[in-house]
Amino acid sequence: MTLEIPAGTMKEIHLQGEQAYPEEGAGLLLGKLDGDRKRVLSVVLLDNQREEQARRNRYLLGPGDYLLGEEEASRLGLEVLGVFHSHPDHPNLPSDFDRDWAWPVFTYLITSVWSGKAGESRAWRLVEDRSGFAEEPVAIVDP
Amino acid sequence: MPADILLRAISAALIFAAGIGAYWLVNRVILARVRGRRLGLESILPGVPAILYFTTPGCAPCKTIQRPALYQLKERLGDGLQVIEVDASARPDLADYWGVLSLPTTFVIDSKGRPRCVNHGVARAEKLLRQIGAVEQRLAFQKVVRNIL
Amino acid sequence: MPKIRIPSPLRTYTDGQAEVEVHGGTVAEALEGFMSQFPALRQHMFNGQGDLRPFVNLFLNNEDIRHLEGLDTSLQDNDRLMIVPSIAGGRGKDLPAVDHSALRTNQAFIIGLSILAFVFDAPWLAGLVAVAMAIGTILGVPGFGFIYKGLLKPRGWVRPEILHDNPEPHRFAQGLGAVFLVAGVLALFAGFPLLGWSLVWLVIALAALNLFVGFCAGCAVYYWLNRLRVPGFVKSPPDQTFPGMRPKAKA
Repeated sequence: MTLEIPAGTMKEIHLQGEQAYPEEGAGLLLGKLDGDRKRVLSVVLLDNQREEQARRNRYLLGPGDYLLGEEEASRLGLEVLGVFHSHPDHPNLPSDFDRDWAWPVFTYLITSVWSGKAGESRAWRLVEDRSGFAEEPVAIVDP
Repeated sequence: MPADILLRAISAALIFAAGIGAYWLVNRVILARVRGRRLGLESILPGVPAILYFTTPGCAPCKTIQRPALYQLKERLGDGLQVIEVDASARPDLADYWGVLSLPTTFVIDSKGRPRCVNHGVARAEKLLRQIGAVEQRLAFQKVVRNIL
Repeated sequence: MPKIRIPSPLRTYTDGQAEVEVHGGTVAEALEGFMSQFPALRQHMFNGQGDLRPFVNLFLNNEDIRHLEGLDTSLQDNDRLMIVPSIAGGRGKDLPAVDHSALRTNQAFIIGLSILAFVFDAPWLAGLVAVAMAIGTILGVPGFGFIYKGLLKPRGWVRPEILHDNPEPHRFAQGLGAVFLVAGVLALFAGFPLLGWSLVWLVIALAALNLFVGFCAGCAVYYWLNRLRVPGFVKSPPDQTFPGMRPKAKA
């Protein structure tokens, strides 16, 4: 499973992470499943619903946000493929907390934001027995 | 009394020098052992310097200092550096093979695939950058020398 | 028949269906039936104790069942249940903030004062260092950290370097040093200068490794304890080497 993201969309995701810094930013990835490729065609930028003190190392998107995402997806003829969020001053690796709260099938795209500047993003999918994550290669495509 | 103190001061300096020498020697031995070793470097791309980084999940400085330093380095050098991370608790065979004594340990491997430096402890980004620079400069110098001769 | 709406991440488990009919007088019964139909769903929706995972929200006709009677809420024929995900995560708990400049100041003083104690043959000075380290360990602070805090930092002579780190290994390393140093001082006062000063130099060496090499003694010990507790859990290493200690003949 490869995650294909247009360069412009990746920039949007990075920008949101930088703007949310030092808090975690998050949103939903919308797109199409194409054989063994997940093609991201749109993103839904959302607000971290966590209480203020916790937003530096936790993010939350409530059921209302998710429904918004599915609505938008269906409007565009797409599917919700996964979630993106940032790790301020932290590597783009999923934590135990990420694992405890992860949905199967979804791609979790994590971006490290070091001192306010977005670094690399890596994509992860929960393994079936919930013991960890498998990495999905990320391919940046034009446009 | 002053002669005594002088003697002890000299002894102290000698002990310190011996300590530094011993450390340097241990590193030379470790590097000599791993020269030409490929295990763990299967995924390495030729022509690009690499850092082989040993860590374990329980090592806090690995997570909080070493890994961010490596990330900064990777951001800085982009495709000019590859970082290979090994979980020493999951691969004790590799850790033995490479002579890992503590964690974090980083090996600086030049673009010819030869391990040239080893850091038995947290190595900051600037230090690694210097080591990579020195190692690549040496290669470039050797190339120039070979071309001249 | 009541129906249950399935969010996209779970549709692979329901053969792609977005909506499935369920049976039961309560939400709990309907879910049980639903799980038996698609057993792979259970571990993602329920935890080991049989409770709904916190990120699984159930809405009955657009009302969160938590505002109704929870899983005991009764179900009517035309009801529509909806599984709506909450999405959460995060990098996790921050480790406490540790000022590494304080640690380095401590190491510098331990090294400097201990060397002075050796040069001037002053066991009392080594004793002083040992006491500072011991008190520091008990209080969970670097023994000479007060010099950094009270003088070096306010004067701007040493800049703080605050990192998220585990304070325990540092405390352990200082404690270990204190033990060796106290033993050394006792040996000195008991008339065993060779043993005594050797122990003092051992502490200097450990502190120097930490200060100049970034060698984390705590990490090293944890690493070794970990290794020794796990007897050969992997195929034997290429060289039958005692880990890293002695170079072996060619593999």
